[in-house]
This record gives sequence, C-alpha cells and structure tokens, in this order.
Amino acid sequence: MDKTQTQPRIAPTTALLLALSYSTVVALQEHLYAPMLLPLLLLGWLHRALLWSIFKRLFWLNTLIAIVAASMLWQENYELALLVFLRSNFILLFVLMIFQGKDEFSIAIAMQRLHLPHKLTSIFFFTAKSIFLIKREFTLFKNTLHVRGFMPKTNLLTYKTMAGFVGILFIKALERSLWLQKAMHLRGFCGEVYTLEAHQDFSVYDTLLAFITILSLVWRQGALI
Amino acid sequence: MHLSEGLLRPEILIGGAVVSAAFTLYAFKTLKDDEIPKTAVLSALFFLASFVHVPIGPTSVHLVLGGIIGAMLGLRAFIAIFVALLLQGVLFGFGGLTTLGINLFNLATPTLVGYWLFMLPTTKRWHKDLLWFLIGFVPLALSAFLLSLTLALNGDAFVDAAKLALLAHLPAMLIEGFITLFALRFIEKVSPNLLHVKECYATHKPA
Repeated sequence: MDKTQTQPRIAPTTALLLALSYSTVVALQEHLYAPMLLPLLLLGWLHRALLWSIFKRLFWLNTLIAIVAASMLWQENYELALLVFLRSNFILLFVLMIFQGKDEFSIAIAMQRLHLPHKLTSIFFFTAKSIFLIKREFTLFKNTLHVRGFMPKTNLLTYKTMAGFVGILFIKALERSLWLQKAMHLRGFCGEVYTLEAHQDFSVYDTLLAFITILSLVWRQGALI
Repeated sequence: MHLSEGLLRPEILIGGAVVSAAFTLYAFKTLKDDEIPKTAVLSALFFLASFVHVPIGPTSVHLVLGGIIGAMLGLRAFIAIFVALLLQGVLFGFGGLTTLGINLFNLATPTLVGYWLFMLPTTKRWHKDLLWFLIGFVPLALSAFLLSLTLALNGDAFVDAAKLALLAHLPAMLIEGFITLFALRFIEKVSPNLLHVKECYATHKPA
C-alpha cells in the first residue's frame, strides 16, 4: 500500500503559500529561534511514516550546503557555518515535508486556485502533462538499453548513445508541441485551462499548520543561534 | 547548479529576483498562445534533464540542456526555466522558492548565448559542429561562472566554496558540449525540419 495515501494531505494551495512564507522569513534571518521548529515538528508528526525517506533525500540535498559550511569551518567562522547549515536545513525540511506526496499537476492546480494569470497556469498544466509523457519515454528507453545489455561507461559510445536519447526526446517533445498547438486551435483555446476539480480541498490540518507556521515566524523567543 | 535555500544574503536574493522577474515578465507579456505548447514541452525537458546522468570516470554528471533549450526558445527560455525550477524546488528541494530568482538568472541568462550561437550563419561542416558544441559548452560555463560569482559576492567566507564549485563544473561543461553536438547532429539526420527554427524566428512565425 502506498504510504502517502495514509498521510493527512495538506492542500497544494496551502503548501505553496506556507512554503513561500516560511522560506522567505527564515532565509532572511540572522538569528534562528526555537519556535521555528514547531511547524517542522507538526509536519514530521503528520508524515511520521515517511520520515526515513524524507531524511534520506535531505541528506543528499546537503552536498552544496556541506561544502559551504566546511569552507567556513576551515576559516574558523563557526557561528556563520552553523547559521547557514541550520537555516538551509530548516527550509529544506519544511519544503520536503509539506510537498510530500504532491506532483506537478497539484502545483498547476494550486497556481490556478491562486488566480494567477491564465498564461502562467496553462504553461504549468502543459508542462505537467509533458513531464508525465516524457518520463514514460525515459523509462522505456532505459529499459530498452538495459535489455540490450548496454552498460554506460566513460567512452564515446556512451556519449553518442545518451546524445541520441536526448535527440529522440527533443524530436518527440517538439512534435508533441505541434500536435498540442493544433489541438488547442481546434478546441478554441483562449488561454485558459479548465479543471474538473472546482472545490478547494482544505482540511483542519491546513488551518492548524497555517496557524503554527505564522506563529513560529512571529514568535521571537529562545534563540538557537 | 542550484543554489540552496538559506545560503545567500538578502541583497543577492532580492537583486536576482528583480532582474529575473523583469526578463520573465517581458517574456510572458510577449508570449503568444501558439508558443505555449513549445515552451511547456521544453520546460518539461529541462525539468527532466537533471535525471539523465552521464558517467565520467568514477562519478557521473547530470545534463542541464540549457543551451539547446535557449537555442530553440530564445527569450522564452526564461519562462521554461522558471517553471522547471519552481517545480524542481518544491517537489525535490533542488534550489527553492527564495533562490528561484537568482537561480533563474544564473541558468537562463546564459541560454541567450545559446540562442545567439544557434543563429550564427554557418557554411562549413566543422563550423556547424564547433557552434553546436559551444551551444552546450558556453551556457553551462557561464552558468557555473555566475554561480561561483554569486557565492563569492555573498562574502569572504564563501570564496573557497565558489572556487570549488567552478572547478567541479568543468567536466560537466565538456560533457554538455559533446552531448549537445551529437544530439543536434541526430536531430539534423532524423528530423531536419525541427532545426529550421532559425528561419521561423527570422520571419516571426511559430516553428
């Protein structure tokens, strides 16, 4: 059973707005406070079954942050190294947890529900659809190479094969864009994409998380650094 | 290639956001409905390029494809890369929301060089091959340079990391150049009409 199905879902619109607020405020801080951990604790509890995979992703996302922090430690700038490390990881953890289980389509829907310009939401919908289709071709190509016993190595054959793959993706993508353009003409596209899901899927968790996130950003007690 | 959240000073975040917003808004304002599908599919390709890993020695690098996307889209590449970066930021944590502006500036501005190189007239086969290699190599080299410059401008404490970031991108630039060259040769053989984007842009018609 898919573990994401058992988790309480935060509406994509809420996720986008709260991620923007939390990232912006925390990224501009010179000091971090204990209440900033509150939304992370709530999200951690909501996604407790997936915490291991979230932390694994967080570990790999720390490559650049670790290099930067290490260079600061080398210069004996310990306080700045800790600030940068914690600030980055607070934001990354918040984003990874709040968007857990969401896909490209849910972001497109969030954009539409925020009443952003039609052109922008249309591009998000078409990009989401294209990602879905190109991903399928990507998997097919990888499987084909695997079945033929292709082993990628540092040689010209590998680079030419990968370039051929990129070429195929471009050709199919550009041809698809032409079909889509014709389909848009036929359907009388006037810049707006209509979806069947008209209602906002807010739950009590959205309200609770919004309250705790706002509280955590304005409550300046218990400096961590 | 993506600068993470929480690393940069507010001046850099705001500066990057303002410049990128200006380019992106202008691109949006001049975007016609007919151009939406092409911009969207190339945005999807940019999004997925980071999943294509090419081996180099004991490690591997992922593709960016900024140059080739810039060559096909021109200024519209700002929109395609904006959408892809936003999706990568929220769904995978690559980059992020506050660094979206500076990352967009670092990645999308160099793609305009890719477009310019693609528009240069060529007469000989080796000229064309050299230009196609440069369409991959130069935008990524410029992006790596801008990324390092961003880190260096962030303060003295970031200078070592900036130098390391530039050095780490050197193999990726070469790989990107060769992959772009071979990919464009492949497209030329299989579907040459798709490379007639030059004529279409010159006459302001959608490709």
